[in-house]
Amino acid sequence: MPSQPPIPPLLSPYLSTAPSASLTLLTSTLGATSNWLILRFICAALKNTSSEDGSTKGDNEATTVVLVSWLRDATFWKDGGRKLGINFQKVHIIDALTTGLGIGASSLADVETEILKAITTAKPTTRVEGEERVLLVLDGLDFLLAATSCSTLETLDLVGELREHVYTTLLTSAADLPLTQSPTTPLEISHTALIMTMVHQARLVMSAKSLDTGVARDVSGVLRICKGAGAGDKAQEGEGELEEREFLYFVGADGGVRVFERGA
Amino acid sequence: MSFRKRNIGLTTPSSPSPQPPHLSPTPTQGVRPSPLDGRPTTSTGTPSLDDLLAGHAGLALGTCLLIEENGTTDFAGALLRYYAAEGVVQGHKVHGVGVGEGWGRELPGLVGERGAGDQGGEGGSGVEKEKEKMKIAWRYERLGEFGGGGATAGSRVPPTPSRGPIPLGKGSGQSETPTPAAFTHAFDLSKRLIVPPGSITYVPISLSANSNPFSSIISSLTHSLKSTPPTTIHRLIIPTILSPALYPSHSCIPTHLLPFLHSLRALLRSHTTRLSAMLTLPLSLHPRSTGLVRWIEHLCDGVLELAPFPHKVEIEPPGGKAGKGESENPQGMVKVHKLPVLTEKGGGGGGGDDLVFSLSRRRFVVRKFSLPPVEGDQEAQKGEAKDFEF
Repeated sequence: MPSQPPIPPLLSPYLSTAPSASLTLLTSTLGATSNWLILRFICAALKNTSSEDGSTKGDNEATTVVLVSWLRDATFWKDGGRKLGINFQKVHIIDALTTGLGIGASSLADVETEILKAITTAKPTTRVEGEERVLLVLDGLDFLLAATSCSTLETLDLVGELREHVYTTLLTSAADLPLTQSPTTPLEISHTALIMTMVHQARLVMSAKSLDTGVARDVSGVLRICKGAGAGDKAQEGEGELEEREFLYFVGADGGVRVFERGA
Repeated sequence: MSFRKRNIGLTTPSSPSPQPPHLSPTPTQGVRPSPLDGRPTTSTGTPSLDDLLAGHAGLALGTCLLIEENGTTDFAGALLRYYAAEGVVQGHKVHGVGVGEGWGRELPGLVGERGAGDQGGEGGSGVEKEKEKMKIAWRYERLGEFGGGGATAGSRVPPTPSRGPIPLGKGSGQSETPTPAAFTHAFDLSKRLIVPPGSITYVPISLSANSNPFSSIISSLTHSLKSTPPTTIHRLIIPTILSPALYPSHSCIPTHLLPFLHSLRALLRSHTTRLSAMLTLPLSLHPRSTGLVRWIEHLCDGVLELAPFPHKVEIEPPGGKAGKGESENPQGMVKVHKLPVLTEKGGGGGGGDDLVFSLSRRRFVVRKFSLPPVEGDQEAQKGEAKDFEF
């Protein structure tokens, strides 16, 4: 496979135009994870987003990233990000997998304290006051809900509180059918409640899933991009150009990603 | 044979030198770099399963594999036994959760390449002798590789006592190697492996009602990882997780099970050169359509599902019989839901082929199958649209 641009051209309008205080939801399923997409979001946020074609010209001085990951360790993110040229000095990774943040002895309040602390230290220093932007990525918050005794409301409160302190938020969640289709157990009910609320708050929902028609060698999965319910009140800010689309994508063994339309 | 001065041996390299190689197994025994990205991998003890794992030709260390099984059969248990036996043979430290020493005694023995092994039968001493011979064979084999460079290799490697026997091992026919590479071995389910004492740690499950039944596993594993030298490879085996035969009923509570799997994942990720794990899950008790099982799958690195055919199916494998005889009839389907490393990066699971498995006395084989199964009653088939088969 020839080397791919870090950010697939078809996706660049979706990755680089997050407005202030917005929430983007990435959902994944068992066979189609969204980690590659998270890395590309981070990459797009750190690069200079002013260029229209999504080409990467220089670092965006005023943006930093706080990445909280409950399911993946820091090494995984750094390995994947290095290939994209992500400057990890500007990414503050909270490795909640190895530290077990929020699980066992530590509570949701500890999670909030820890993340807020990271946001404060990560906040970039800029010449212009109010220009600094922090992208908060919460990867696997739904795991915290499933594995601990905290309630959906508490988790939603946490997200709400954290969103107030950052420029834009990226949230990932599993959205497999067994978890959301016909919720019966408390685990499934709270998961569905969380994801439904997030869909309503989100500006954009990007869902990665496996091909419906079976496994193919040259397609890793389908990426469906929908407007979330949170996009409505942003319409007057020129958000209308984001189109609801569905793409196919292929992730190579080297981590390179190709995004294309059906039939292409 | 008695002690002999080594510098005399230099002039007569073919003279038998009784120096035993290192008694302790080589630290990196049973580990080889992945052909894809060089990360260390270890064998599952089932070569065709190794081949399935996204081109890494083995289970990457620092990852775990979940084998799910429909119905009441125990094919997954066979895979688990191969995995454990491979660990014992390679000198890895094996941790068996919830099983007793009886389980360890029933590990499959090595397939003997010589007739002597077969006539030894079940006699403990015969098998032991066979195993002893095998050990020597592997050592020669490794040393053979090591000394393959000839004089150039000798010039950069400081002389060790074990270098003496290399020419002997190559030259004489008696030290035939069991497999071309010591990475994996063939096992025979009808034989019994002699397990050296201490190579398997049996981790009990706490049955008390008000404690987390899994907490003992993580603490025992952490302790073992700390107390062994950093070159020791560990294998964790968790048979039939959540089965009521082994686990108390409150182990199914997500706040017990999921934090355990999370800590196991953390432990795997922080020991990416030392630890691998294999779990099995009975799907008849915990179907894939439940949220809890989906979370278990999300927390494991590789997920394979075995769907045995309800009864023996007499389908001739298409494309010729390959002369393998009746034991090669497929006994069930293999579905790949998730693969270590690859799925985490975003790649899709499986190669798109229908896979079947067959278990015979000597081996567990996973291979391609181009006909859809006649029986359509696998309950998992209705769960996922992607199982639609042509």
